[in-house]
Amino acid sequence: MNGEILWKAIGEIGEDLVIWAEKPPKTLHRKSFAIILAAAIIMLLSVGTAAALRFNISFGDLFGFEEAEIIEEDKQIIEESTPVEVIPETEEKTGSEFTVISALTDERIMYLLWQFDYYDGEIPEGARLLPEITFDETEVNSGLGYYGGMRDENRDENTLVGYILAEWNEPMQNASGTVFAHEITEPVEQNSKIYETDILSAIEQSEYVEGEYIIRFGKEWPYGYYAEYQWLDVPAYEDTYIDLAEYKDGRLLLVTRTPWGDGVERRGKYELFNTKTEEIIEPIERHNFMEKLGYSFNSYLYEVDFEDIENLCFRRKGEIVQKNWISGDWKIDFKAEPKMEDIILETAGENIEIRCSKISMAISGNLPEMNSFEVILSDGTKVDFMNLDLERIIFKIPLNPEEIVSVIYNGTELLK
Amino acid sequence: MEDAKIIELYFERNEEAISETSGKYTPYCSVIAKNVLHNELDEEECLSDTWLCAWNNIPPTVPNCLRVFLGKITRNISLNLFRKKNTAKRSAVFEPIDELEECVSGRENVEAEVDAKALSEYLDSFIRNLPEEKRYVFIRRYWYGESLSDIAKNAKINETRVKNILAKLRKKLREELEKEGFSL
Repeated sequence: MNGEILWKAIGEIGEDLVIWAEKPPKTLHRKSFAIILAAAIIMLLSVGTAAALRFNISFGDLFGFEEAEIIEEDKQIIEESTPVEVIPETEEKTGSEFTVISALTDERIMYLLWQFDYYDGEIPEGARLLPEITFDETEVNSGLGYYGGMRDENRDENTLVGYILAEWNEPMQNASGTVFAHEITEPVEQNSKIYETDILSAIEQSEYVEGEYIIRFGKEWPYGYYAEYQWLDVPAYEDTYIDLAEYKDGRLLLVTRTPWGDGVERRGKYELFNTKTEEIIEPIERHNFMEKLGYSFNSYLYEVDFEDIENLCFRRKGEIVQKNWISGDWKIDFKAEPKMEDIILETAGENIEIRCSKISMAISGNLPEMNSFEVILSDGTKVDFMNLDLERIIFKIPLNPEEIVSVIYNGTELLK
Repeated sequence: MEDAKIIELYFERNEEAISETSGKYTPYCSVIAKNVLHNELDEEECLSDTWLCAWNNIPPTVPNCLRVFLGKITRNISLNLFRKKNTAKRSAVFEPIDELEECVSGRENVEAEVDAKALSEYLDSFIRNLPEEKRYVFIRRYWYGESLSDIAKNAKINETRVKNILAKLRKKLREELEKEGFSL
């Protein structure tokens, strides 16, 4: 195994290198490395109509309501200042382009919308891009959340869209930052397995016999009778057996038996697979109907032609993992400043201050540890939150802070 | 006890050398063993073999740095033990070595062809010339066998960044090994 040759050779590098790497070098912490959700500064630029038409994501997409509810003056339209990928000015674009579209910012947080366009082909379905933000001069904190770029059926197959939700503190507001990405991943199925299964033999061997065990189907089957059957012990795969296989009127009925109970390793999903056409046959009905004698029984009804049965087998579905699709060095430098202003809510208690914008709230003052928290609007709506850190309480959906009528903290109303 | 004194005990064939070594270096070596083996019993077996190997090699070897000398032994023994325990399990892979496969051509039977010393010297130089963050991540992954999440946690960077750094470094290493004529 040649990887092992490298591994052994690496083992012989200088001792000083090994000792050096015992602890992370201090310079790592002074730099603001790849910390997701740092606040970003965005350059405020106006965008012409032509540029706006190019973008496919909006805050309406993000929050699930009409774009108009985020009014233009709240939204910052931004443009990258130093894109790394330079697109030549030809009719047909090549390469890729990473764009930061716009943002919503207040004194505490920032939503940053971005878009990735790929001109050299189609982006695989399920592909993900996870951008990060860094600052050269300022330490940043992470922890809020972001939405990895995804294709969806409403978008161009050459485009990924997403957003970053970032902390936005004062040092960050005064610094310049970079949004960057190094990799796009795609979902890949691994560890799937095809088992040799002789379903024709199972059909030939199945018979109804009087047996010790009567198993009733949980619902009425097309054949409308009880099935009493003998253990067939036709091993389909590993520890699962086909207990019954019957073919009638274009339909194949299979009943499988799998060990059940504590300590039994759960297997992956099993599928009926046609090795000739390489297609998965989906059951038209499926039931799990018995856990008895340490076994779980599953019944499947398929519509198949008799001629196809010899090509059928069981396949274990693999797990889906994200693997590298392409690597790159996409980055955008930008600057910005907070846009949405806070209003200050009138509070009942002294020394308690509540600052609120359309997207977040901050509460300061002498308050005990939070056990319960509610914000209620004038129409009786209870506000949902994404984050309940008192320094940045983030609303799930932007709201009009003037419509807040109640802020209840540990059962106590804070507003006057 | 100072390393120099421990080494003296080895030279005197005083078995206290082993108890002093294990007392001082069990924490260090068990981290390396754990990164490979993930099994307490196997780790214990590995450490016992490490002390025995040190006893059998000192003298004549005089380690410059006893800690790293022992770490290397643990590194090698733990991998051998991993192989031995997982022969039947085709699915068992030690991820760092699996990743390093990307840097090689996949030819069979090349061990006799590669000048191991030259390769190590080249890798030493390659690693030394890396920027600090990348150098740290590379050594933690491919010398210490550390998991991606532990590297991320210790370096205070996120796991995606660790993966990206390693992916790029493997690609670069492959290109450079080919350029330097290492037929792996």
